[in-house]
Amino acid sequence: MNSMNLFPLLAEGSSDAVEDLLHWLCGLVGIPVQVGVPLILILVTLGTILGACSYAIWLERKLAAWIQDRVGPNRVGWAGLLQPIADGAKFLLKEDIIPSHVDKFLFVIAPTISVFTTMLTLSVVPLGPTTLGEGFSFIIAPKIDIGIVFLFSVTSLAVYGIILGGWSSNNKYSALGGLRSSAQVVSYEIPLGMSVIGIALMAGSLNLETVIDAQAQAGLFGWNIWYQPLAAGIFFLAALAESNRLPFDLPECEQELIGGYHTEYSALKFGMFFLAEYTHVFTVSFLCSVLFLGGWHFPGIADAEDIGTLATVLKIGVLLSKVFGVIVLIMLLRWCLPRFRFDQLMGLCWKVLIPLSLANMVCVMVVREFELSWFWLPVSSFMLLCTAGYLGFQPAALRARSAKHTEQLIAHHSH
Amino acid sequence: MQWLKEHWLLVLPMVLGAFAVARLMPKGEPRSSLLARLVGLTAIGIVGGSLLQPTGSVLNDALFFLFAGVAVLAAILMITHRNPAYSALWFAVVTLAVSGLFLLQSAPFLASATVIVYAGAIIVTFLFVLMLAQQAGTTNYDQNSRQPVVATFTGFVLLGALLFVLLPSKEQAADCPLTGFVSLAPKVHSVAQSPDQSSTPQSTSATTAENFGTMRGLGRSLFGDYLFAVELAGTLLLVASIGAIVITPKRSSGKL
Repeated sequence: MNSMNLFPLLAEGSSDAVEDLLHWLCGLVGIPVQVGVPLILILVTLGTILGACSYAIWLERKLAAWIQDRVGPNRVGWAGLLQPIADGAKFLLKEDIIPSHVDKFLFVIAPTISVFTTMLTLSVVPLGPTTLGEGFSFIIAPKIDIGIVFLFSVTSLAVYGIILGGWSSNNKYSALGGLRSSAQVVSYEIPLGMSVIGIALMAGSLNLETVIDAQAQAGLFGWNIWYQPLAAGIFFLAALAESNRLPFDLPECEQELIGGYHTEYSALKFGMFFLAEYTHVFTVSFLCSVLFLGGWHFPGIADAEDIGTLATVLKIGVLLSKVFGVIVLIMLLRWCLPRFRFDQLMGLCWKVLIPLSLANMVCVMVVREFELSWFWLPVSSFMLLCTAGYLGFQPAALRARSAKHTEQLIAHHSH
Repeated sequence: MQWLKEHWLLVLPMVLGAFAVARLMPKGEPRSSLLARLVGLTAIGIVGGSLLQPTGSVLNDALFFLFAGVAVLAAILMITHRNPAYSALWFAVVTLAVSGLFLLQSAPFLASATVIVYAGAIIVTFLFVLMLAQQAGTTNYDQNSRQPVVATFTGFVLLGALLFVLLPSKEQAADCPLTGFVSLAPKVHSVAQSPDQSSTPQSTSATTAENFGTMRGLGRSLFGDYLFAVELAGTLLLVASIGAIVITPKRSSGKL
């Protein structure tokens, strides 16, 4: 009976062969589809992420080498392609040192918290074509009404891995890294969340499938990045800061803190921190693609009304290409921008990103409330950006004087 | 005496629990009180076994007892642990477990918001302060609790009073077999089933069947039924944050 189900697999275009394949696999093992399909998705995602992480490191090293006019890894395998496997083996086989002065329980549990939380976020991220109706969605946990809020709640837990790693190491460099990280992550969560509220207002839902659907129905010029370029920028910056990537990698900051929160870690525990960081980069890239770049939609290749096997494969391909593009952008940024100073980092968040995202949110609310044309959204984004730039380039003396004036006013009032 | 005979199932675990917690509070030398732990677990067992009736759905019950048990145990560990950093972490576990209970009551937004606000921000700030404050190791304040007996007594009297009010009497228990607790909230189902409620256009009630537990329903409820309370709370928070900014020492005046 199971072999009969194989036939629709080969009949291209008639029905969705990928969906049939998943159902056939469930039937083969003998578990119900409701449990089996998410399980298969989890296994495939986990396997892909583990493989992709190691090759993302290879890609990053190659890109760095290209930017700095070097060759990069080229000893293990052709063009160094086996380097990730060698690195993985090294992580596994090296001596796993737990220093005697650490708080053992927290020291061991910190990297697992990092990996666990970053993996958990992938459960609501669309990994392929999605539908709002009865059809099959490539999400581990589809139809979650509070999708984006769930994502933020899990990401907000990711900081525990870093803080506990830093604190339990009982080392001043680690403690400094943990301190920096807690301040940074808690601060940057605010613009991250506020930049997405505009998207949720436009789509009328927090569900990521609905967000994609709204963009796909509207075509190429329905992608959110055209309407909310400012929100896209804020989201990207804040997400980079959340994932502790350069130019926001102050928690590990090699020149000042040796390795920051993971100074005392070695072997596989260090590898787990590394894995968590790259998984976070993947999640951020998926979210950028889904929220702002139209998800699996691309005009002429993968449209909303396309169904069937080929369309499914193309949609997965389109989404993954967008994700790949964002990952490469993140990696290029790493080798182009110097690291911030800590006060600059906090200033950027509290004095620039939060007011800008707040103003942008108000603009979206005005447009939605008075049912203005969406054309006003890019205009307002542009004007907000120009205003911020103008204020930023004011001579420092002028700003200092106005700040002094405000302080005098406050002092005057308090007497 | 008659009252005690009727309510011994409530009084006994309270007394046992108070004894266990008071005994487990940090005081002087580190000690491991096996007796207190056993007594505490017995108290939790009596409460869980006798006062909470199973609902009939195995998965629901298993999850409820898992989350509730973890919440209670983590709360006890939070107040009895000698290391303040661990106490903060047990607090995080309590909030996560309580979020699980919210999820069981189909309130996913409340669960996520609790995790974001408490586990993600407030406890992280606690840890931040602990890391700054504890450069020289733990102090006397962490080793000794000030008034363990009085504090435990007060806490358990409050807990007992709450349980006494919430627990159904014999005749009420027959009415609500769902959780064994008296529901203090207005009955949702009666509203949802009245047909004219959902058809009237000016109805802002969130408790219509299709909106129950969704963001849309929650938004309608918050900004329809409870608009003034939400606005009041928002204003209060805004005023508090402005006040916090104003009383911060100014860097230019040399106080920082």
